[in-house]
This record gives sequence, structure tokens and C-alpha cells, in this order.
Amino acid sequence: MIPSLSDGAVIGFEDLTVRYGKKTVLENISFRVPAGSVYALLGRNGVGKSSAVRCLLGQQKPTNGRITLFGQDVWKHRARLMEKVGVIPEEPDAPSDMNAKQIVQFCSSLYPSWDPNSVNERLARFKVPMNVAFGSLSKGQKGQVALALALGSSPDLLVLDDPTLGLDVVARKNFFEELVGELADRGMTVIITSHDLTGIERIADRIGIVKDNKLVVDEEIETLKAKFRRIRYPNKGIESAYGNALDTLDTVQVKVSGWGVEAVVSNYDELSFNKFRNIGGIMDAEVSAMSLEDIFTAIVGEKGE
Amino acid sequence: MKNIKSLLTVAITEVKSRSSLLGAALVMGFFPVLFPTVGKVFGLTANYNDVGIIAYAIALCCAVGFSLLVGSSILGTDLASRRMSFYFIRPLSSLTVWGGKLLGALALIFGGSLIAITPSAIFFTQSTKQFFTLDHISAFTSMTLLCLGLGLVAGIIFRSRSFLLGLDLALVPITIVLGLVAFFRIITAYRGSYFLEGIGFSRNFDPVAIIISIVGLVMIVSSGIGLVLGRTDIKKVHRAVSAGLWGLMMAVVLSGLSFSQWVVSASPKDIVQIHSGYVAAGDKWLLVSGRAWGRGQYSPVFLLNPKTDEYVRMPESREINISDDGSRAIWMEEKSFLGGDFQLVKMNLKDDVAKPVYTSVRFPQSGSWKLSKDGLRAIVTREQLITAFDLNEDKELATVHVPNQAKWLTNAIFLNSDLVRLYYSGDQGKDARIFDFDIKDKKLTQVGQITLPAYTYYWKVSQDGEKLAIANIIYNGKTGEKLFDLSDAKLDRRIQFIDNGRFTVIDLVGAEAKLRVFSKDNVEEQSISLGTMGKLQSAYVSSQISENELALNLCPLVNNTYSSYYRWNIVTVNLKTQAITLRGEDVRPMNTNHWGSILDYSQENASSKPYFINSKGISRLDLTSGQQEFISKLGIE
Repeated sequence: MIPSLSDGAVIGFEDLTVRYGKKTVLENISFRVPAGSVYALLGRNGVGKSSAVRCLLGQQKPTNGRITLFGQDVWKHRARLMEKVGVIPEEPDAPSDMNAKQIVQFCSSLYPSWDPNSVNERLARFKVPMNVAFGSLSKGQKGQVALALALGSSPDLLVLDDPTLGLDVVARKNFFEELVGELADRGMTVIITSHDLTGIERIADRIGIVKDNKLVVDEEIETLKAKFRRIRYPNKGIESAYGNALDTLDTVQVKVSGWGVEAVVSNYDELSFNKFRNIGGIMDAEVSAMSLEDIFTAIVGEKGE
Repeated sequence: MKNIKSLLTVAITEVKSRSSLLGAALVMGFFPVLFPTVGKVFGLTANYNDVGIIAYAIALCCAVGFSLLVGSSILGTDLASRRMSFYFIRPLSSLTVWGGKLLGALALIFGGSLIAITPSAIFFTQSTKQFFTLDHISAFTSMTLLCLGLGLVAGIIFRSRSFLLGLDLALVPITIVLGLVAFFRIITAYRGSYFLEGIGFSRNFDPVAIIISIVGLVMIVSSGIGLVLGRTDIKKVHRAVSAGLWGLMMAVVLSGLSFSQWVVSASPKDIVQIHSGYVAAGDKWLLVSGRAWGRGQYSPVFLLNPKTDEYVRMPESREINISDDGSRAIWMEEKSFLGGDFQLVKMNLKDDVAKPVYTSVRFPQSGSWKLSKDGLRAIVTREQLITAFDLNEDKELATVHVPNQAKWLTNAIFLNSDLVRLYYSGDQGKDARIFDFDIKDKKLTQVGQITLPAYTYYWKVSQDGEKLAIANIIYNGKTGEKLFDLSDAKLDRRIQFIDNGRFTVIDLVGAEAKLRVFSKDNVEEQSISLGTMGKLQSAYVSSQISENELALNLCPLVNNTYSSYYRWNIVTVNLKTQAITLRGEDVRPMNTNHWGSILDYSQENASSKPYFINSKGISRLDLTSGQQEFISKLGIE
């Protein structure tokens, strides 16, 4: 039995740094994922999400720092910890000559809490051909096999590394629906990396965003969405004064155009916004909520973009 | 138990995913069975034995081919295609993944080979069975391990696209050269597999197979180190493989170099059992060989000066020639690592402190050398050439061609400094030809010929060169004319020349010995029973102390006849009084040109205090008093 940390965190990133030669990919990343939560680790391509996942799964040794799963160093105790972890890798793969039936048989002998009924039921529901070599399956079918296998071990933690990459809209939707249903049933911990922010928004309760090798956001999704607002007001030629006033709301992005100014702030509150409106006398300034996708774009896009 | 189950699960997966190889092996297995029939269609014939040879060759090809194929893909392909994470996201330790894959690979390789040879084993049992020997199995196993290791390592390092590949490729020739240096030094020192026998292995174990297996195992283990440390990242796996491979390989090679250096750096103090000894006339230098401590059956050879403890280590397995007067020793040393380059080395034995002098004389072969009595000249035969040298100036004096019918030089004697008599045998040791080599005129002349009834290695020439004894028949030393026949089918007689053309034989009938002395005219003068000395295993005349006194070496009959050390006794026999006196017990005489060997040569330098060896070391024996003087115990405890 692997003991959990007293604070209930299933995953602990502790000052994780990953370098490839002289190139630093991740630097001093620290966060925790409590039991039962769904954590989305986001970032643009090449920021090191997959490196973080490899470190998380004990496949890669961090240059510095460490990652704990269920309170144990994953590099040292990978094999034992993987009994409680289901994984859907970025590119689901298995020996290409093996068919789904053989792969299921292979996995069934490795996990103590393997649930053959759920795996078979899920594969049947997905209509995955059981006797076709894995190498001949479509990308969507490979993903479905991977999902069935990942959930088949009744894991306490599910690691999803960009699971919808390359899937069409319908397949993506189905995937997240399946996942939502599973989460509702089991209440397991999930960490997911994905570029499908609409899907993420449906399931994640905590967001981490990596930018320039660092974790720049680590928030509850509701808190994050409450803090970020888009503010619009007409341009009256004194925008610099407004700009200074906006800074109290932590401006993330400002766009100036002919009709006026559009800004994204990351520390919105009603009181500060009302003060801003009163300073400039811009009573017609508007504030609107943002989607996760907008927030993400505002954070990881260049300032002034 | 869980780990074994996981290991087998991975192994079975690997076998299943490559099961088509086993089918291919079965198809190939029927080829040798069908060959005698199908081959006829194409005009090819094969006998019963050929089937076994083809079957073994196919099984070996299966093993080698499958090893390279499976080895290069089982890790390398999975890593390069990032498929290794399929295993690493499961509750499988890195070692289990590697071990399971390796087990699967071995099952495919050996299973495939077994399947390939099975049809032949069923239908041509006897023909195939001849390859189920230790030699063939060890060759098969070593090649499999080497190819599997090679495949595993190459599959990773060539697919990783890492700059380390350049370093790996650079280290390959360096390691091979260092490994070969160590290997050949050991092989030369041990003259084949005697070392392995010495440390408890059967002589059937081929040292080459063992070295190949070690190299293969090092590579296999390195791939394991790579996967355990690098896991799913092929570049990191490559880094770990390289570190493991070259670390282990260098450890093996450096251990081999250190070990071989330690072996060949043995000194006389390391000799714990003396095998043989030879004393140069003048008694200054002894040539001693024996088993050295901790080195198995390694038997180094030393020229040793017991007075000063100076010594020179001689090349193993090379002929050391010492002149009759004890003034000079010569031998050939191999100079090239690849062979084919030998250099003549000479040493002046007149000095107490003598050092080898490397001459400018070099040959592709070591040749067979013969020194003149005074050590000033020498002849060497190699292939069908014979060359004479002046050893003071290292100068070639003459080279002549020997007729092709003369195959083996069995004996040679310098009649004077410019004339050498050569005794050659033909094929099978028959058809002896006698030549005179005139160095001054650079001319070789056949002067005689003998048709021998059977092969024998025992050829002796009287000190004046007038008589030649081949086993128990005496011939004219020049013409080859048969002079006297002492042959007896029941007796293994060997003629030994003493002074004035006289000669002796010892008849050993059962365990009873009788010394017989013949005159120059082949008339029997004496017949002296040695029965008073007990039952004997062997006996020979070792020295002529004076005109009428001979020294004999007698080996008592003992139960254990297989031993490198025989308990010899030395007696003197007075030919006038027929008195036999025991002079020394448990003494094995050290050979010399004037003592201890069959008497071919003059006795003018004969010592009355011959050296002998026994289980205690080297001693001298006073033949007149029987007193023993201890000289050296070497490294004998």
C-alpha cells in the first residue's frame, strides 16, 4: 500500500527543472494536484509539457527537483506506482503486430485491480475490432484502446498527454464525454495536457499554464476565470492615463484601435474597475467574462498582440 | 513471483509479435533434409554426412541472423519509435522490461535454431548428431551472444542520432587492438587452452569462444544498463549504453591486459614446479622452465644465472639454441603483432651478467636453427631454403635451396666451421637424405640416402659424424649405408654414442634392464645387468665420466606414470669392474650437451657435478661422493 501525503496531494512537482544540453525546457516548476481534482497543464507547443509528463511517469529523470506520486518519488518507485496510474500517451502505441485482444490480455496480467468487464464493454461500445493488428487501427481507435486500457486498471490517477491530438471534432467530443462520465462515476485524480481548451474547460477544476519555461499560472479554474476580464472603452486620446489606471488590475494585454481600447486584466475586481471608470470619466467602459481559451491566449500570446 | 510472471508476460509478447521467424526457421529446417533429393535435379550431390553439415550451418545462420535481426529491433526500434513507453507506463520495472525482451529474443533465437535443425535430427540422426559436441555448441553459443549483443547495441546507437555515435565508432578499433594485444599475449603464453585447463576448464573449451562470449555478454549487459538508466529516451539510453559498454569493455580489456602482463612478467621466483632444465656448458647459465604461481599451466622459460640471480625471460614456445661450448644462446622473437616477422636474438653466455642482443636478422618465419659448436656460426632452415650466418657480425654467409623431396630437417652437425652435414626426412619421416652444405662454396650436395622402414623422431649422430643412429639401426653418417641392425620388435632400443665410435643400448625387458656396450666395429663388448637397481620404468646413459665410467639415469617403476616430475636415480657404472654405484636419489638430471641428454657430442666440457632438479628445486650432485649442493628453490614452497 502506497501512503498518500497528509495534505491529500496525489501529484507533487517540486522545483522541477528539465534541461536538454544547454537548453532549459522547464525551470523550477512546483505545484500540487489534490486527490480527486482534474488538473490541466497548458502551454504552447514546445514549452515542455510532454517532458513534464515523462518526468511525471518516471520515464525521464529531471535535471533538478523531483516529482512525487502518492507521496513517493516517481523516478525511484515507478513500477510500483504505475499500478495505480492509467495513462493515455500523446501517441497511443503498442507492438504493431498485436491486436486489441492480445494487448488487453498482456495488460490484464500486470495490474492487480484489472477490470476485464469494463475494458471489454468499453471496447465493444467503441466498436474497436478486437482481432485487427494495433498498427492497422485508425488513430481514433488507437486512442479508444488506450482509454480502455488506462481505465481498465481502475486507476487512482489518470494521466492524459494531449489525448485528443489529431482527432476530429466528433471524436474529441466523444472522448471528453466518456471522460466526464468516468470522472463522475469514480472521482479519480486526473492530470491532462491538451490544446483542446473547450474540452478542458468542461472537466478541469485547476489550471496550470507554462510559459517561458516557468509555471506562470496555477489556479482553480473558477478563480482564474473570475480574475480575468476583457475591458473595452472608446479611445479619447488620453489612453496612457487610462493605461496607468488599468495597471492596478494587472493588465495582461492591451489592444488600441480606431474605435477604442481593448484590454485584458488578470486581477479584476469590481471596486478597482469602478475606480478606473471614475478616473477617466469613461462611464461607457464595458467589462466581459472570458473563456479559458481567451485567457490562455492572453497569457501565452505576446503582450500587445 | 510477480516479477517472474511479468518477465514471462513481456517475453511471451515479444515471441508472439515475431512468431513468423519461427515459421521461417521451420521452412529452412527442411532444406537440408530435401537437399539430397532436390539437389540432384540441379546436378548437386550430397552424401549422408553433408546433411548434418548443412543443417548445422543453417541452424548457425538462423542463430546469427535472428540475433542480429531481433537484437537490433527489440530495443532500438521500440525506443526510436517511442513505443517503449507502452511498457514503461505499466507496472513493470526497467529490469523486467529488459529481461523480458531479452528472454523473448533468446527464446526466438535458440527456438528458431532448434526448429531449424530438428527435421535433420529426425531424418538424418547420425549425421546431425556429430554437431552436438561441446566444440560446436560453444561456437554456436558464443556467436549467438556476440551477434545478439551487437544487434542490441547497434540497434540503439545507430537509431539515436546522437553525436556519441562518433565516439563509439572511434572506440571500437581502440578496444579491438587492446583486446587483441591482451588476447594474443595470453594465447601465446598459454599456447592454446592450457590455461583454461589449468583453472579447471575442459581443454575442449575454445578460448576464442570464451572471449567472443565475454564481448557479447558485455554488450548485452550494456543494453540493460542503457534501458534501466535511460528508460524511454533513446538518446539517454544511448548515453547509458555507451557508458556501460565502454566502461565494461575497458574494464574487461584492461583486466585482460593487466592479467596478461602479470602472467608474462613471472620471474624464476614464481616457479612452483620445475618442468625441465638445461645447463649451458661452463655451468654459468641454466635454462629452466616450470609452472608459475597462480597462472594455471603457464610455463615460462628463463635463462638463469644461479650465482648472480640474473635472469632473462625467453619467448614461450620458441626454440632456444645454446652452443655446445656454452658460449652463446640464440632464439627468434616475434616482433609483429600480426605475426610473420621474427628477429634473431643472441646472448653471450660467457659473462655472468649477460643481456640479449637484438640482431638485424629478421625472417617471416622463426625457422629451425642449429649452432656451431663454438657458437660463432649458425644455420637456419625455413621452407626449402637453408642459410648460414656469421653470428659475430650478423652477416649472411650463404643461402642454398633444398630439394623439395627433403621435407624435415631432423638433425644437423657442424663438421667444421664451413661444412655442415644435414639429415632430412621425406614425407611421413621416410626416405632420409643426407646433404653436405659447403658454406664457403655456397653449395649443397646430396651425399647419401636411406629408405626407412617406418617413421621415427630418434635421429642421433656420433661425435665424429661418421655414424648415424636412427632408432636402433646404425647407418654410415655420410652415405647412409646400413652398418648394423639392432632392431627388435619386442624392444624399444635406442642407440647412444659414446667416445671412439663406441655405442650403447639399454634393453628393458619387463622391468629388468641390461646395459650393452658395443665397439666401434659393432661388436658387443659388455653386457651389464642393472637388476640390482630394482624394477625400472626407463633408463638411459647420460654421461661418460671417463673412458670406462658411465653415468646412467634410472627411473624406478612407479604407479603414477603421468607426472611432469619423475623420481630419477643416478648411478655410475664402471665398465671394467661392472660395479654399479648409486650416486643420487630423487634427482632428475637437467639436460645439457655434456650431461643428462643422449650423448651426441664431445665430453670435453663434461662436469663431474651435474645439475639436477626435483620437488625441492635445483641442486648439484658430486658424482664421486654423492654429496648434493643446493642451488635454488626458485618459488617452490
